Amino acid sequence: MSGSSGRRKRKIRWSKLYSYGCFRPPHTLDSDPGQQLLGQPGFSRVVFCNEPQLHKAKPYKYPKNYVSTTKYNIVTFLPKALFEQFRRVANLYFLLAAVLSLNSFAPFNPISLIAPLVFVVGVSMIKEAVEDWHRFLQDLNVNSRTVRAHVGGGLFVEKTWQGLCVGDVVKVNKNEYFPSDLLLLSSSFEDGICYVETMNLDGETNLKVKRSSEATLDLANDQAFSEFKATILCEDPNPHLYTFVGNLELNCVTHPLCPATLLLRDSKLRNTDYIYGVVIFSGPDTKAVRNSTRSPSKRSRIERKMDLVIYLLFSMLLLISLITSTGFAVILKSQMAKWWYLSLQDDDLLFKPLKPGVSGFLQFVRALILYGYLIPISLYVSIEVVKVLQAMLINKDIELYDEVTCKSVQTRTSNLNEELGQVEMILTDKTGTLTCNQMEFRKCSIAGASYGGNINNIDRAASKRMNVEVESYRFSMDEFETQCQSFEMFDFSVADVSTKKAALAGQKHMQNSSADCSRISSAEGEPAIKGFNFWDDRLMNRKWVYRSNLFDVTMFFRVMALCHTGIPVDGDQAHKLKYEAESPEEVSFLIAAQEFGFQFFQRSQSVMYLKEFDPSSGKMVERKYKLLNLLEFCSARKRMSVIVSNEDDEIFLLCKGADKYVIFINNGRSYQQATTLHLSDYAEDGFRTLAFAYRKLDAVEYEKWNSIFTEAKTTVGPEREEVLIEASEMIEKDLILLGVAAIEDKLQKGVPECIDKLAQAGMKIWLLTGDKKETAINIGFSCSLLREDMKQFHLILGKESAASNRLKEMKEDILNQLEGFQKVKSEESNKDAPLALIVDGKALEIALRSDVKDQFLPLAVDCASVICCRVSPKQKALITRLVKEHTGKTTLAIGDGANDVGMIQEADIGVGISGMEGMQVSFEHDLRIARQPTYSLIILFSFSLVSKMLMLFKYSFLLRHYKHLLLKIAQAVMASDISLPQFRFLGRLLIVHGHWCYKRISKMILYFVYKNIAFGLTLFYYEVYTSFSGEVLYDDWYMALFNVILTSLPVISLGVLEQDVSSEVCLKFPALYQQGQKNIYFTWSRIIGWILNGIVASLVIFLANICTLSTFNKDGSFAEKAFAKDGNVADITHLGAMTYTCIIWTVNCQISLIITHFTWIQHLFIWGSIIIWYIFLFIYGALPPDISKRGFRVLSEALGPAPIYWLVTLLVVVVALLPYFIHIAIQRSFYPLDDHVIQEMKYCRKDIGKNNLIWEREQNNSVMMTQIGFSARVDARIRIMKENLNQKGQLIYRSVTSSPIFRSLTSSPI
Amino acid sequence: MRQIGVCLSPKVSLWFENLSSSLLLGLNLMEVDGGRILKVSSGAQSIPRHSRKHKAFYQFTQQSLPACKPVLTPAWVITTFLLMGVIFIPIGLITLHASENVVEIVDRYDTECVPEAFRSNKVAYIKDNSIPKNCSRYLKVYKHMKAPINIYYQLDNYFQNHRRYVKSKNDRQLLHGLGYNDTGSCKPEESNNGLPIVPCGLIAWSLFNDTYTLIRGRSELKVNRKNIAWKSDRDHKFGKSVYPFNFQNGTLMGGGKLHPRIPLSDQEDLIVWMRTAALPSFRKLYGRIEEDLNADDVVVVNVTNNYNTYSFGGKKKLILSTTGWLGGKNNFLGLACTSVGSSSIFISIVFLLLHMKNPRIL
Repeated sequence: MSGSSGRRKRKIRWSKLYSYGCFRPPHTLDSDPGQQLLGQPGFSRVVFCNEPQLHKAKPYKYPKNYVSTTKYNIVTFLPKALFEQFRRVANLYFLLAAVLSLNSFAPFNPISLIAPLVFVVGVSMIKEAVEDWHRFLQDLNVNSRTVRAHVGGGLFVEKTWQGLCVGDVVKVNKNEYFPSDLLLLSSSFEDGICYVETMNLDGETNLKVKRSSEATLDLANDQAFSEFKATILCEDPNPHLYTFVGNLELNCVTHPLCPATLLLRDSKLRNTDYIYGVVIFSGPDTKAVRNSTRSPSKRSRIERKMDLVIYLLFSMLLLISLITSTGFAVILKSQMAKWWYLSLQDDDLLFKPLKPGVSGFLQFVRALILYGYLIPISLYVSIEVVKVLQAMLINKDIELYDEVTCKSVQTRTSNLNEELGQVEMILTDKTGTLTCNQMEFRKCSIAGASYGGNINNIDRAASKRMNVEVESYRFSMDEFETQCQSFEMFDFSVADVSTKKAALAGQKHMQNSSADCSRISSAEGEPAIKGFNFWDDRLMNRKWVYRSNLFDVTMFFRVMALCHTGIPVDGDQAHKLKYEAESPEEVSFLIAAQEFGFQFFQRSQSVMYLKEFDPSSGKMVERKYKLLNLLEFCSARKRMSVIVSNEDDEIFLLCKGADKYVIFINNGRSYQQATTLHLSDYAEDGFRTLAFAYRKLDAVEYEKWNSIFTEAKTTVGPEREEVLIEASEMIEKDLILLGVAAIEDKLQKGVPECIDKLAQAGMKIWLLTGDKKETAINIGFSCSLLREDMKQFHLILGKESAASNRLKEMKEDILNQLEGFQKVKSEESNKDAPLALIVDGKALEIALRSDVKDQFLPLAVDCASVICCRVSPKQKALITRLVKEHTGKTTLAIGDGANDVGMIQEADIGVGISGMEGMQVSFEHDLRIARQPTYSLIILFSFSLVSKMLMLFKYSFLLRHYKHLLLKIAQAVMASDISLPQFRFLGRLLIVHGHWCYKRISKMILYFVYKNIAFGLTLFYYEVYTSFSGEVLYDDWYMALFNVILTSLPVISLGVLEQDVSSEVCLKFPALYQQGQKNIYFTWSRIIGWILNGIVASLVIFLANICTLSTFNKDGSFAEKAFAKDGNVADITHLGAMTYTCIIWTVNCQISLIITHFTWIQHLFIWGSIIIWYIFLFIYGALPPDISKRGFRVLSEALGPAPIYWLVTLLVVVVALLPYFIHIAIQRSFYPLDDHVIQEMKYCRKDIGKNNLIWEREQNNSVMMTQIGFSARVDARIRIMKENLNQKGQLIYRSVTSSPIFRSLTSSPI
Repeated sequence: MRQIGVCLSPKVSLWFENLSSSLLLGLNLMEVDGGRILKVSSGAQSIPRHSRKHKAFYQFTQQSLPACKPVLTPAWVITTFLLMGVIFIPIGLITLHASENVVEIVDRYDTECVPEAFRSNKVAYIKDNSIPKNCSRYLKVYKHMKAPINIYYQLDNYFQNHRRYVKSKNDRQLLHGLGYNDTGSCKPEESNNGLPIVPCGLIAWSLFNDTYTLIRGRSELKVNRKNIAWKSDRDHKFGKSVYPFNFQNGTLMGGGKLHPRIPLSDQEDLIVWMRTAALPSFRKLYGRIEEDLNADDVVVVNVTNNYNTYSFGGKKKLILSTTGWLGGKNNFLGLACTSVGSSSIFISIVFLLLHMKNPRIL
């Protein structure tokens, strides 16, 4: 901002522009009931401005401006985190087992139970700690931003945010965030107003005006603060964003303060050079912080189901423990007493034949611990590790990196990864999510002629597809019957389209747009000028001067250039200006006007200056327009007007507004009908339309009206608004329509494609927006949520019931409407006809009431798309919850503003758009933090604890985290589970990563269940052979290593790297995603199947080993026999090691059957695990017998040289895997699933080369059922075209058959 | 660094900048340095290329590591089953053959060795020390047995794997003798007159004490009773200077006694017995006959029937057995392999037929 424009701006009393504002009567003490409360409880805060030192001691000691979002601190971490961990049932069970294992009768030594538990809990806690550490760093980043604060003597120095104190006077510059809640003292504008963007707080994109108290207006420069002292008495900290009560005591005069004087933390200064403010609420007291809620911890569906599986396993555990203890008690009572070699004595409670019940019970407890391997202790920790790694890979995905904002996707909570693969409902916000809140001038219709192109993308894509089909028709000889006719028709339609194209010759974007169907939204090409995407040779480059109705065109441009509230700022180009205005629409109009040669370049208090292109002279001339009145936009009138007089003292009223509200009061001109037609065309393309009109006033009439208006403006009281509207309406009549302009609320890049993909993947998309209905419908069309042939239901409160404001009537109204819809729906002949529901906020409030929602929700869920407009943040959250509860489907909410926070937190998955805000955090600053060695050391240390494997990723973790620092996270992002830089990434996130993660996690859990059953049950079977005495087959070490080392890495590689199909194929076949929605990989039949598989495997393993070691006597009994050539017999150790070897082989080979994607990592882990087992066994055996005990030289001396050891391993592995192998062989050959077919096609290279048609056919089949989205819309259009063709064909046929010649030919007997 | 980054495609360079930023941060974890970027100048164009490590890491993060994706096509199914059959049937046949070559003579003697008069009360018989326990058994060799012939005793329904039993020993005491006084695990056979029993515990206490002498024709067969235990046990688990000086001196008499002058490492009967069997029916090596037995030889076994299995209904058997490369006689492995192999071939044929009948069309 250069000085000159600053000065220019300084001349304008902004408040005077808003013609109502300057006459607004000042607040008086008694007018506001809140003022009287001051000093009472709840309103007791005292702030000494400019004297922060007074706030260093009690009683005025307020918290520092340090904001903390961390869950723990160093002291509370241990108890709190431990408590969190042991809230998990499984962990509690293992804790109990560990405690019991300290007892003498426990089957294992305590270490082998405690170590895994410590590991499991430790890893989870470290994960918590690291996550909290990230939050801490993020806080640190925010807290160490700087702001200029007054240190005395009029000197302002940079101070960190956290160093701020209540009472500090700060100076905030343009586009900076407010460090805390400030009281506005003065601004760069004389009248002390400033503009504030509150996007982060409430999601509204319009700038808000804040106004300082009159008393402090003169504090306009740094020096003025050297002597400034004042006392503020105000309310206590509270979370209400829109209220504030306080008094400013300056020089013994009390001035009231209103909410308009309060600048809130998390909002941003806009359009204002600088402001001075005093800190009144700091840190945790600020309204923004008070308003934030910690996002609730969410658990994925699969994890919840996994709990049930764990319960199932637990009941299995109880069952076999019960069998063990009963068996033990029976044998103890009936037989064991006779076994003299046990020398049972009465002192041993564990084996007391006289009291078998007690011994049986103790045996039961022991069995619970012994068979604990059925409950996979490491499942939880493996899942945690896997999810963190998955999240990291998602974050690293370069395809999800936005080069514009330099941000990538951030999975903020990793425990919802697999939930991403099951989403069925997407609830999305509009502004900032689908659209980028940037308006572009796209088309206009002036005096009945439409400019800016006619064809929309849908037609273009449809015609292109028809072209292709014509080609294929030409080559197919089968359908020769209709061929000739259809040829002509197709050719005609294509020709039609191409003539249209030709008509718009010179339109640059047409060429590249038709080039590629898939690049739908980018088809327009990036406009050269931001906010102006308009191509028409008839208007561009001053060619409009040749139009016949030159006056209308000129007036049209004048309305654009004059009817607004914007101001020019310096542009980057020499002759082009940039503008700032309250709404982005106005900016785009100003830019468009500038392009057409009507440059608005200066505004003074009452004069607007234009540089106009004069058609007669062909030169730019400067013209002055006196601004007489400005009739502000209001929601009742839906239009705004200015009254200006030009240099010839002609007075014009220039008006722009919503079409309905402008056209209906114009006096009618010949081109009105044409304009209306254009309007509906534009609306279908999803453009926002505004009608322009003008009226010429004569001086007398104006004077008369002006006096009425001035009187209205000075009215005080509640009826003021109405009076003003009445006065405005008096003059805004008899308007002459000039035309309409179409503004595109620009969709973010790739949004339509993304929605298309999501729709094909079977997801339903609901649009929830705070915008008005028309805008919402516009966007619905532009991103293909709506299409022309859809039946639209509009659920809106009727005028009468809304006016009556009585609940009962409103309810009846809604119920009636719903009933009507149901009727229409049931009468609809075509059951698959797509329906759309459009609900208004007020109607929604009624519809969501408990007694109405049962009618409403089923209807809404049935509709292909639902659009809710004018909904409040609270309603968004409510809808989300109700939809989630009613349908039981996985919902995903996506939004960017703080108004979406409720929805994001309520949904199963909340996604935040990290947006464009806050990019300017200095990089050096972050590097400074990052360089501090202690932090990185702590991170290093904590990670080295996790496990060696994580070391590999440590560094990418760090990277992510430093990148993280560069982001200022908006509130929606803070509340979200995943943040995306752009909406378009949602497609890849869900369809690729979600799909993968879903399959990975479900396969992983099932395999875990399998492997623990296969292992745990062998312990049980062995009990049968030991008279249920509770002897353990395996060495303690084998047991401890099983889950921790020998089988953990392969399953982690399954969880992290498994891909059923590659990402490209995922995107080509979005229908694959439906596997996750139907949850076919984690059904109960699958779970039971895997449990049975585990049981079979354990039986095979155990029995084969027993049988191998035994010899069968003739009398049917069998006994252990010689083990190897030297005649020695195996003992428990050998049996244990053999069985264990078989288990390791079986479970590791089983996972290699599950994995379909082998990189070297999987190979390394799977085969490495098996090798590690042998290495371990060897090393363990080589240790002195004091340590290795029974395992001494077990491999080198006994097992290794024995051929049967190796032979039985081979046999067991094959037999144990045979059932599963046969199952998948049959399934793949005879009942293949979608992914199997695709895999096989890919494998046989059917996707490339000649057989491409099959590949495409599959692709088309997979998207057949979709109702919404771009492709579906194109399909529908093609269907309509074809129907038309058919009808024409039939018509011809009929005309031929009904012709007398034909009749005579057919009827004449031969 | 920056220059190189610029040459790369935007995405790659971005990723690369991440790497280089880690350098800036001084966190040189992956040993990233500029030197690893190789500049390959081929002709006029010089293309910057990542070193292999970088490329692999990039592929890893993008989940695009080269991978083999085996798909179970019908052809694979048929081949796999066929292959399994081809492998398993020969293995099974060889194993069966090996098992069939093992000659095994089993003789149960626990009931026969009780005199008729005591048959109704065997327990009283076995507990009465005054009655001589000698008994002779006649074994007929039905097939030529090649030396070495192992002599086993087999006990049935004897739970050596009972938890109370298994843990009732002290490994350290066995190795170091009285140096270790903590014999808590040996309960209830841990001490006698204030001194720990060596060797302590139920296992040692219940030592098997039947003895066998084998006579063929006139001459006594020499039974080698050395090297019947695992070598590692003898060398490392049982002390060379540990003597069972107070073994079986207690009030309650268990099984066999040990010679108090022979160190534990040479008491191989004990060592064999101390290897607790995995199953309730087990054999243990008694000794080896170092000469061949011919078919139709009759071997007279003089048994001293000391060990009490009568009180719990256990059986005692004497076994003479040769060993093959598979160890003792066992048909299970052979049968299992053969049946797995043949059923695999069967399944393979079924799949082949099904596939021929309605082949997969993609």
